[in-house]
Amino acid sequence: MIITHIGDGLLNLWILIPLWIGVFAYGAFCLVKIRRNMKDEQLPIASVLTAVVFAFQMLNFPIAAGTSGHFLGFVLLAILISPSAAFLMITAVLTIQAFIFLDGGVLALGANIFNMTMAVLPGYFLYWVIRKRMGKTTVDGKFQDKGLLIGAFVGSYMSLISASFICGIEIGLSTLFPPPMALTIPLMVGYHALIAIGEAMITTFVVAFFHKWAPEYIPDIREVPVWS
Amino acid sequence: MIILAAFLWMPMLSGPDGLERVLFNLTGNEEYEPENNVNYNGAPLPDYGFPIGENTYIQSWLVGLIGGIITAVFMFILFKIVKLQKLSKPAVSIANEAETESNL
Repeated sequence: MIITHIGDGLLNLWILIPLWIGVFAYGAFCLVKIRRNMKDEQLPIASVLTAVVFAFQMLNFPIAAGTSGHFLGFVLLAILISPSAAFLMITAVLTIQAFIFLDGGVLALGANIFNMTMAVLPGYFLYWVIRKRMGKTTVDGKFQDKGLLIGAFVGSYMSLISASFICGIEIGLSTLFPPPMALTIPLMVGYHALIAIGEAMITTFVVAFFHKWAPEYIPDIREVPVWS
Repeated sequence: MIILAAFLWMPMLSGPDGLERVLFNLTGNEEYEPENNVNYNGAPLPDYGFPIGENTYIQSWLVGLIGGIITAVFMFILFKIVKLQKLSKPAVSIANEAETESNL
């Protein structure tokens, strides 16, 4: 059985309800941001990118010790469109996976959305800071985007670490799952430190591909605020 | 879409993934079965496969394709709905202008 997300019955209800509230609050914020900032010409590419992320999430790549990992994609979508659009896209992917493909519980959907969007945001902020700091405007007015690929690699790597850390806390807190937090956090972060290498490589490769062949799809960092 | 499909020809999985592996290590169960398990008979394509028949690479490729199309269409409609009111605003202003013109 392919379980790639948290199923029902793994987390207590008192853990799930705050996560659901957080998801709805941040979701409302994201909808406002999307309506304000997203351009109409971005809609088709955003839809196709969502399908690509869905396909990448189905694809498990092997890592050490008989474990395999799969792609998350939030940072990739956030780089190419915006973090608030990425929230909606990952939420749609997770909802489709839960209702059509039986992957992750319906009650636990709030926890999954929280882990894969809001818990991933530190990685995106890291990308934003790196790209903002490393980009330089030369004397003749050209903008050198040096931090794009480095930021994408480091940001997507750290995004998985923060997500697995928060997931470890949730599983550790849950009384339905016996092992304590001291065991779950190191294990989750340990395995995901390896998976994150694959995540970072895919993200960097796709961003590099867009940067080389379709640079108009990558928003200019000078015009992108942190909360966009 | 063709590139996407070509990727899916690769073997679908080669072991338990991160979360599954952690659950396995800590409980010793291949599949962690919680006590209040819910019966999911309603899903159209449970577990990334068709409800009947064996799962082959072609089937998982097809499921991926179907899922991808569903996701893209769903997302496009969702974005359209989110931006719906913004799109209809200019029409309202044009109507107002026409009204004021006719009043003049």
